[in-house]
Amino acid sequence: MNLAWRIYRRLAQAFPHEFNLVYGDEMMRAGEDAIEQIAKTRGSAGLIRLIADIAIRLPLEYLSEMRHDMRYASRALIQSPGFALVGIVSMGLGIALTTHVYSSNWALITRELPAAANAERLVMPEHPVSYYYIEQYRNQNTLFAGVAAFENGVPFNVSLQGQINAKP
Amino acid sequence: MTKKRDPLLFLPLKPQWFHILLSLAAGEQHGYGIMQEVLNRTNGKVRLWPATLYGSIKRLIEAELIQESAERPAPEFDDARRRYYRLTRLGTQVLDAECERLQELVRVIQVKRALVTE
Repeated sequence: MNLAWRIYRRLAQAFPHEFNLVYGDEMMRAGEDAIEQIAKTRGSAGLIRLIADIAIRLPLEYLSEMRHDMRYASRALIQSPGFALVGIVSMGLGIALTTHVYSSNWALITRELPAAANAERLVMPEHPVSYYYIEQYRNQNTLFAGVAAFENGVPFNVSLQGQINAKP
Repeated sequence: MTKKRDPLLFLPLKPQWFHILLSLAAGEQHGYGIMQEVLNRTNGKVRLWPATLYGSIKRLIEAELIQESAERPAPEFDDARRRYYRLTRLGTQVLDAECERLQELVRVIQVKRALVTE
């Protein structure tokens, strides 16, 4: 029964603020008063029914509050059409811009690159290998479908006023 | 100025609405009192669970069928922590109309049963 009461109390506290302001205390008290009687007369099934009742009503009350807010917003917008127009155009532009930016970024991130069509079949040696081996791999066409090589960090020397520094 | 609303527009009433209005027909009552009254009246067959009860009370007030009552019962019966509710004029008319509808339904049932048992 204690567990049922704890769940009931948590759910009752989660009701919309406007609802709780008016009925919150009474609903809590009614639950507290009824829970013992329900446990005695209906047992666990009654307690489950009590929790189910409040769990079902919770989203319904939020929907009801949302409907009130929507109705209030519609009335306010109808009363000031200029403000409504500016709001709707601003929201439209904002949504369009955000959608465009995200969809182009998404296309860039998720598009299939030609070299990585079968990325799971790509291999790279753990250590750098000399160009001789690259040629060998390319010539043994039973080993790889294709071979490519790249070189990063070409070493070069810089001489400044007779002082030589090696740069990678 | 409030619009005059046709009581028939509310029919058929939801069962919990009907039970709440019927409980308030005798006078002001608080939520838990309504719950107990319905339970006793129906010999424990109908229970208005707390969330359903207060959700229905909220909607009945919005529909102007009941209102919060400023009048309190005698101090020895008064529970100061609770809100009391009473029927509005529209609520009384809706309750009457629903009772008539149900009585008519019972008359039809009785006639049909008599025909079957003949």
